[in-house]
Amino acid sequence: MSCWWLFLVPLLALGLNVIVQLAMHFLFVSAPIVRSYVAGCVAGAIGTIVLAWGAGWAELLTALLTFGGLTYGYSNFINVNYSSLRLRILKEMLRDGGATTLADLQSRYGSEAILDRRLTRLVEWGQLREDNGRFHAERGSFYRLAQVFLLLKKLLLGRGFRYEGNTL
Amino acid sequence: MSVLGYGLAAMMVSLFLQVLWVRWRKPANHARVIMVVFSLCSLAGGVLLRQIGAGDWCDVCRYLLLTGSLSVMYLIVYAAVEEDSPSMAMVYFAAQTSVEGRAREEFRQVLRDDLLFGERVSAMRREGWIEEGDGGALRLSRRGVFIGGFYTRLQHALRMDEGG
Repeated sequence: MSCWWLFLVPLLALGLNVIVQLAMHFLFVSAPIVRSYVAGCVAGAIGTIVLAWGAGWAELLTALLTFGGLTYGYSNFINVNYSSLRLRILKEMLRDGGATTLADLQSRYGSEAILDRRLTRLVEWGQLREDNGRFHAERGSFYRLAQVFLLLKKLLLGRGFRYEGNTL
Repeated sequence: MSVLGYGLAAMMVSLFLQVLWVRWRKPANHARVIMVVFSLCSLAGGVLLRQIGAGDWCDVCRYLLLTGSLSVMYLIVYAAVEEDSPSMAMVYFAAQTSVEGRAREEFRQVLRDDLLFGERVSAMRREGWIEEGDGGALRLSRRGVFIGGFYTRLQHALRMDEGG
């Protein structure tokens, strides 16, 4: 197996990832977009293994790690449209002629305006469960990811999630 | 093996130096520190791979693709760690009460205006997306118009809902 082929494998796998993710997204428009990310990532990982099969474990691991970094970058590049409040503010300012005031932004994007939207999305995406008006955390992959982030916050920044002047 | 070994070593050294720099110097812009440290360490590792590790140019390209993709991944993760994702804080907040759960009103403790809104507007100013106009008004900079326009087109092309 040539060296240049091994260079191309993660890039080809990323291409497969993008095609599968977009196909899943457009075929199942009403489904949460996170499912299309998972489908694309799995397809790309399988593609990496198939294309680099027989090159030795170190080369296979190198290709998988490279693909992992690329697919994470790609999914964040798309997902930032959903998750970033800054981008939402930017896009709405653009639609409104490019100028606004701090007070107007606060009335539109303050916690009251955003609370329901965040809760709805977390329930839709299976990260929270609503039961008689109370919200419970689903201890799935997102919760585990939050735990990892909390650990990273403590290691890198020396604090946890901030709220009410305290940290979670 | 040498590509993987050099790549992982470069990432570990970069991570160590970056954490040391951030903890010691406390810079305002952590992302810039990450980009500088990871780029320099990756380039140094590439030179060592070529000179000492007997790697050819193809190995160096594979090594740079590996370190580049992992550096981008780290940069994204670090930004999220630094920014206090409200969604993660809300899920973690709800998880602290396993049986009774949280009422809507309790989530206001997590979604504080100054953390959710104020810090993000400050970050938009710092990154040059918005500028101060006359009488305290805020207006989009050229960079803000470019980024906002790009993501608006992407959102329409992918038929995505409004986020944020």
